[in-house]
Amino acid sequence: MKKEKQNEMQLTLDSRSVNEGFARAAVAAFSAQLDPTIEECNDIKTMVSEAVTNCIVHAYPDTCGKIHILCRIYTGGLLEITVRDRGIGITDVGQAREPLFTTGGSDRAGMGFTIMESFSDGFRVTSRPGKGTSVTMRKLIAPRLRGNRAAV
Amino acid sequence: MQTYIREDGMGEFTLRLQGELDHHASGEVISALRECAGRIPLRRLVLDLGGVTFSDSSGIAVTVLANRLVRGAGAELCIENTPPQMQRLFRTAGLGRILGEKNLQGGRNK
Repeated sequence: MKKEKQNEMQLTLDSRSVNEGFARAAVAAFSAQLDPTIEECNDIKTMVSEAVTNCIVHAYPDTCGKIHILCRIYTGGLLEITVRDRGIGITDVGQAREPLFTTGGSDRAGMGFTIMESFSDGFRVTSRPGKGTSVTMRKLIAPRLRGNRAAV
Repeated sequence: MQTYIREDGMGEFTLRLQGELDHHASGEVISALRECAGRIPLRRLVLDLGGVTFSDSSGIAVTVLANRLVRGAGAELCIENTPPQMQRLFRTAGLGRILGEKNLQGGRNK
């Protein structure tokens, strides 16, 4: 059955590390209308934090660029988050998705894509060198017994 | 992110982290770790994660670095009060093999 869009939020941020906390808090606040559990909310925050950090560290290593976040809520409790940049892009997406692979320093674990993939219910990366990268993550918020879901 | 270092006078240092641990905060934590690992004598470093309210993969990188620095100094790393959210991260990263299952399950609880 085709999912219908119920709500949407867009956010554009400078690629400054101080914005990491704001980005994940904003997406978590938007997703609150789906009444997620604390664990689901933590998963959403973690996924967003990883995607935004990738933009800051890898997409714009020497410049300050724009990070675009698009959040959509579909029927059935489906949250879709797209984090997009116009940075340097990824030459080999397959290699970048391998656990422990990083081009960052010792403060990076090389686990960003692995965590985004593990914590989401659907994950897609598209990238063009010199043009930028787009990461789309889906999270299905399980219906709660009390069923108090404003957007569905 | 706030970092607090406590010393027991017999070579045991406790580094307590308070707040959200992400890429923005990790520089301060790494500086504190390097400060602890450079102390002599260092017998044991206790990394107290009880005050961490959120962590992304920066928490994995910091913990792996702590393990490397402390073991490199010939000392022991103890992790305590690991919040459930960080335990989930550590398990996803397969850190049990590096840190030991006890450290993964919340570590030493006071």
